[in-house]
Amino acid sequence: MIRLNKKQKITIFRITISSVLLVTALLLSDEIARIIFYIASYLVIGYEVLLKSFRNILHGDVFDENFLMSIATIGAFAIKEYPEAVAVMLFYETGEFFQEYAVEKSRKSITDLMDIRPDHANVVSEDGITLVNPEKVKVGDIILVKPGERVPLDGIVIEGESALDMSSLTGESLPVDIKLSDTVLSGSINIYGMFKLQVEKPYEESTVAKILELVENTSSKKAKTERIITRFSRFYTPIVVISAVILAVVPPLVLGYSWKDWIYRALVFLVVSCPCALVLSVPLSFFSALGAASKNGILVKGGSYLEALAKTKAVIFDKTGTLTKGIFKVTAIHPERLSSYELLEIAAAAESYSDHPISKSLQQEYMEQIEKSRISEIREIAGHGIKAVIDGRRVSVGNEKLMEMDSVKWNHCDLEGTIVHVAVEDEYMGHIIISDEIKKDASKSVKELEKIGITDISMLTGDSKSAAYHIASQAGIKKVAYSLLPHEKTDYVLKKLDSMKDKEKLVFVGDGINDAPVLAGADIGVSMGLLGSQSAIEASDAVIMDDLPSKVPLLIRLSKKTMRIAKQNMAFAISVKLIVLIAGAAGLASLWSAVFADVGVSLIAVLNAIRLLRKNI
Amino acid sequence: MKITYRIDNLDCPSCADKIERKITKIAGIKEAHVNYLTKKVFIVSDVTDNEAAIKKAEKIIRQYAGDFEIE
Repeated sequence: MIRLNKKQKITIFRITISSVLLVTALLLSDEIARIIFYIASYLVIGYEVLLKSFRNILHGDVFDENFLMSIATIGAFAIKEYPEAVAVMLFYETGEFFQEYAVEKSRKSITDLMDIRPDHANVVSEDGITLVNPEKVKVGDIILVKPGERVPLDGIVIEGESALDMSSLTGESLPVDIKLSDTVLSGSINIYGMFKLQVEKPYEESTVAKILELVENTSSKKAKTERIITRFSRFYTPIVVISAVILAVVPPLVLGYSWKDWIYRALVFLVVSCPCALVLSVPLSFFSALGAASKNGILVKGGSYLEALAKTKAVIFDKTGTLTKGIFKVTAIHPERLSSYELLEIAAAAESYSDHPISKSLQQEYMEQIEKSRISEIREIAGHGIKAVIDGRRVSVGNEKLMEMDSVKWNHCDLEGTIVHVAVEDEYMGHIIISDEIKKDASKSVKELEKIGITDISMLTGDSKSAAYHIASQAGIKKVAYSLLPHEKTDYVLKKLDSMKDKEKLVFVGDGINDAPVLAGADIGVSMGLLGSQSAIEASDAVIMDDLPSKVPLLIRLSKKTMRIAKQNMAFAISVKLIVLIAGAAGLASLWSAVFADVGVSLIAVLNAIRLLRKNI
Repeated sequence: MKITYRIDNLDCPSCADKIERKITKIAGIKEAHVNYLTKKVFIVSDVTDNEAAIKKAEKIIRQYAGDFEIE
C-alpha cells in the first residue's frame, strides 16, 4: 500500500460528496430541487475537468480529453439526461482515480527498485567523520559504512566484517559475507556490521553510477509496438470526434430523425474518444517488464529489446566467463628441458602485462613478483598468444597456432583445459594446462531454452577443440565453434544472422572481454555481469548482473509474456471501444457502457500490465 | 544542450504524446521525449544555449503538466 497524497484524498472526498448528492437527487420528487442537486453533484466532481478543458480550449486544443468529456456531459444535460450526465463524470473521475493509483503504485515499486543512488559517504579523516556527497569522494579515501547504509562507492574492506544485501544489484536475496580485503560493490546494503572501505574508483566509474546510467537511458528507446499505438491514437481521437459531429447533425437534418436520440448517440462517441487505455497500457507493460527484469538482476536497455527478445530463434553463448566461471587455475605443468618452476616463471613473466584471465592464473600460481625490467618488446598476437624478450631471450607463450607460426615442434597433451605452450628461441620448452570450471546453471540454461522452443544453441570460443568440447558436452550444447579469433566470432555471428529470417532474432551472450563487437553485432547482445568491461556494457542491450546464464531463458520468457500482455491489452481496448462505437451508432449503447469502455478498460489494462511485476516469470 | 525536466501533474498518457509532438516542432529543438511513466521530459536543443526554443518548450510543458523541476 502506498499512502494517498493530498490530491488523492481530495478526490476521494469529492467522489463521496458527489455520490451523496446524486443519490439525494434521485430520491427527490420535486423537479427543480432534483436539477439543482444534479448540477451540484456534477460541479463537485467535474469542476476540475471543466477548468482544464476551458484552459486547453484557449490553446485551441479541441481534441483534449477534458474538453471532450465536458462536451459529452454538458450535452447530456442539454438533452435532459441528468443522471447520466452526472454519472458519466463521476465514473470518469473514479476510474481515473483508480487508474492513477495503480500506475503510481507500479511506478513506485519500479523506481524504488532502481533507486540505488547513495546519498552520502562517511569519509574518515583525522578530524573525524564527515558526510560527503559520493561524487566528491576521491580514490584512496577511507569511508565508514554503518549498518543499514548503502555502500556509496566501490572499494576494498580495510577494517571490519559484515554481510551485504546485494539484491538491488544482482536480484539475489541471499546475503553475501564480507571480510578484510574483500572487494565491495557500491549499491549493496550493509546488513549488520560496521566496516571501513578504501575507495577504489571515483563515483562516475563505480557500479552504482554504471547501473543508474543504464537505467536512466532505457526510457528513450521506445518499442515499435509503443510507437504504433501512439500513432494510432493520434488518428483515433479526431476520427471518433468527427464521426460524433456527423452522427449528431446529419441524420436529424437530412432524414428528419429525432435530435435527442442522435445527439445521445454522438455523446456516446465523445465519451469513448479518448485513447488512454491504449496509450497507457502498452508502455506500462514494457515499463513493468523492465522493472521485473531488474528485480531479477537483469538490466534491459529498453522496451524495443524486449520486443526483439520475444522473437529469439537462436542463442549463441561465448564460453569463457559466460558458460564457465572464468576463473582459471593452473592444473598441470609439463616441462621439457627445464624445471616446472622455470617454465612457469617464463610463462608468468611473458603474460605479466596482460589482464587476460589466463595471465592472472599464471601470476597466481607463480606467486612471486616479476621484475618488470627483465621483460621487453612485448607483442600480443590476438588469438595466438604473446611474444616477448625475457632476460635477453626471445620467448613465445601461447597456443599451438603460435607454435606453428614460429615453426616450433610442440607436444600434444591429453588433459582437458587450455594449453599454454612455451618456446624459448624457437625451441619447445613444454606446456602449462589451465582449466576453467563450468557454471552450475549452464546446462539448466540450455534445457530451459529448449523448453521454450529455442533449439538453435551454439557455443563459441577462442580455446582449443578439446577445451571447447569439454565444456559444451557438460552444458548440453551440440553446435560448437572453437579456436576462433575475436574477429572470427563476429564473422560467425554475422553469417548466422544472414541465414536467419528478418523476424527471427539472434541473441549473443558474452562476458565482454574481447567480444564487444560481437555483442553489438547480434540482434540482442547480452553481457555478463558488472564486472565485465565498460565497453561491453555499452555495446550490449541487456546486462545480467549476477553472471548466471540461466537468466537468459528467464529474460526470453519475460519478453514473451510482456508481448502477450501488451497484445492482450491492445486487442481488449480496441475491441471494446469498437463494439461500443458500433452499438452506440446503432442506438444500442448507453453512456454508462461508454464510460466503462473508456476508464473501465484502461483500468483493466493497467492491472493486466502490472501482472508482470509479480514474482514468477 | 540536453535538459531533463521532472513533471508531477501529467494527466493522461496521450498528453505526454502531445507535449512530445509540440516540443519537437519548435525550431531549435532537435529531440524531445516525454515519458509518462517516469514523469520525465527530455529535450535536446540544437545549439548549446538556445534560450528562445527552451522557453517555448517550457511553456508547453507548463500548459499540460503544470510546474516542473529541472534535473
